[in-house]
Amino acid sequence: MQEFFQQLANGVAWGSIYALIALGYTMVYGTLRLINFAHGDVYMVGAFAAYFLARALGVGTVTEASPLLAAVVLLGSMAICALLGILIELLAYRPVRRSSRLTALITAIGVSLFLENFGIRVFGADPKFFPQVIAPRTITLAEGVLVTNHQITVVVVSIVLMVALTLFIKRTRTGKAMRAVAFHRDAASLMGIPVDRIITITFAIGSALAAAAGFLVGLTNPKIEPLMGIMPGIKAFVAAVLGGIGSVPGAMIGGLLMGISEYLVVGYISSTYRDAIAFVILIAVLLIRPAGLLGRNVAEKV
Amino acid sequence: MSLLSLADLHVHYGAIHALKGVSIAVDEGTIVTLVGANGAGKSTTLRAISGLIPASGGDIRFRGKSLLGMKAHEIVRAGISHVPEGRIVFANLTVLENLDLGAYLRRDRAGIAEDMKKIFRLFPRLEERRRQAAGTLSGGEQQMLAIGRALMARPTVLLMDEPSLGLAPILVREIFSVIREIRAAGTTIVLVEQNARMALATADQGYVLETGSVRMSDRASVLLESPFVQAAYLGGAG
Ligand SMILES: Nc1ncnc2c1ncn2[C@@H]1O[C@H](COP(=O)(O)OP(=O)(O)OP(=O)(O)O)[C@@H](O)[C@H]1O
Ligand SMILES: [Mg+2]
Repeated sequence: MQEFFQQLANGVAWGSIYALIALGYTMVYGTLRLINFAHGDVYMVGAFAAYFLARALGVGTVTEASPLLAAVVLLGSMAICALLGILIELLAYRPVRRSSRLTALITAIGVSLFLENFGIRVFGADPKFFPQVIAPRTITLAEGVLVTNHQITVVVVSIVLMVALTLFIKRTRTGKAMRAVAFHRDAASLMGIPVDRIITITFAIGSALAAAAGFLVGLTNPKIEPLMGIMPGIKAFVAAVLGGIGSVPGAMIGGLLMGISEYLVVGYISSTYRDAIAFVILIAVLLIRPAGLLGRNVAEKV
Repeated sequence: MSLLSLADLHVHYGAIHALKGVSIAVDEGTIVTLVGANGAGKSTTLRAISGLIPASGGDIRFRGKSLLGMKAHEIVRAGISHVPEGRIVFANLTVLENLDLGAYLRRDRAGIAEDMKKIFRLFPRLEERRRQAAGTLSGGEQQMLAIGRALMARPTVLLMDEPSLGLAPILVREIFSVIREIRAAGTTIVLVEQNARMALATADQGYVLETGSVRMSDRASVLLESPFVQAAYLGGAG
């Protein structure tokens, strides 16, 4: 039982990170019907942005680790990636908005390859060690169930961001406009909604959430490298599909389930199969419930 | 000069030449109706006015200024709202949220609240269902919502695409009486209808579209009596 709760705790922490990444996939898919394959790489850039910010602030050398500092690094990397998301949308996706889905898909793969190679070229292919922006501590949740304060930070920050996102989408004028654009772009524009701007905002928010995930991963698994976005990107995508792509609560639930199942596999089967579970889930969802847990059951032309 | 005028308007969908030089004049405070068979280009005309599709020739002028090149949301801001074919209410949003979105460009909270009351007076059924998801409304209620939503923008011109489509006769009469009320309140209306009899009986001016061109135009009352219109669009016996 201890083992179970230990893996559950680990799974929840990783699942929160998947959930944050999955939100970007699902939001962009919801508004553009585009699978933004570069999203995992935006998460990677987020981790590096946080890394360079922390270094620039002298974390570990001139300044002490502190939650305030961590917050500055987090928000900074979110802002940088929001900007990156806006650029990707403007430069890569907008020009092919009216082209075929295949064109958009190939563009997305191109952006992904570009970011990965940009990372290798500019950040270097070798792993970097993420500075300790929060001093590590171990906390005993129950007998034999240990978590770090970093894992708790991951979960708390994720919850705060997801609650904020939900309130934003439900309550604000822009959030309502995002839902309208996701439902029907032309009908939204007939309300006077500037559809292009709303799409840009969607990319900015999704990318900022990916950056937060990148920062949080740096905190718990401090080895970062330019290809680190590939696997989590795929898994978060599966999480979004599991939750029902296009559904915001679906992405949250899908992410958590993905993280938990991964750690249950690690705990009870073998860590060798850790990555395989994502594909098992993907195949199972596609076979059993293609619309996902919370997805609307709509026939989609791909 | 007319409030809204289309001059020799052409629209293409790829290789399909959907509008072949349509000219229409809409005077302030009137109801202008476009009637015609399926595929005549009625919806295309409205879509071109509201910027959903680009014109490939000719001009669209509103208050003397060309609308060509403007984005759809800018045309709404200029004062033209469009109740689209098939209603397209935001199914996953509530009735209230749909109406709020209609007022997306407005900031005058008091005015918005007042207009919302007016719309609920026009369509009491919407008020009873205001917290319900729009997708769960009946077809007639969705049409009311689509009209209400467009009115929330306080448009100068309201474009309506087949508001009576698929509604029971009693609801059709209700919708037409609302259309007259909207006009009485000072809004200019361009009404696309397949129910040509009701449309011509309600409108001031009428245009008959055939395969992308204006076949006839006249005062609506004149068209109603025209043997050609009676034979082709009013089922023979006037
Ligand atoms: N998206 C589109 N792509 C290609 N052709 C289109 C498109 N929309 C309309 N058309 C064509 O343009 C012509 C005019 O269509 P439009 O929808 O304007 O007709 P309509 O008069 O509104 O007909 P209905 O009464 O059936 O609504 C038709 O020949 C139609 O097939
Ligand atoms: Mg039509």
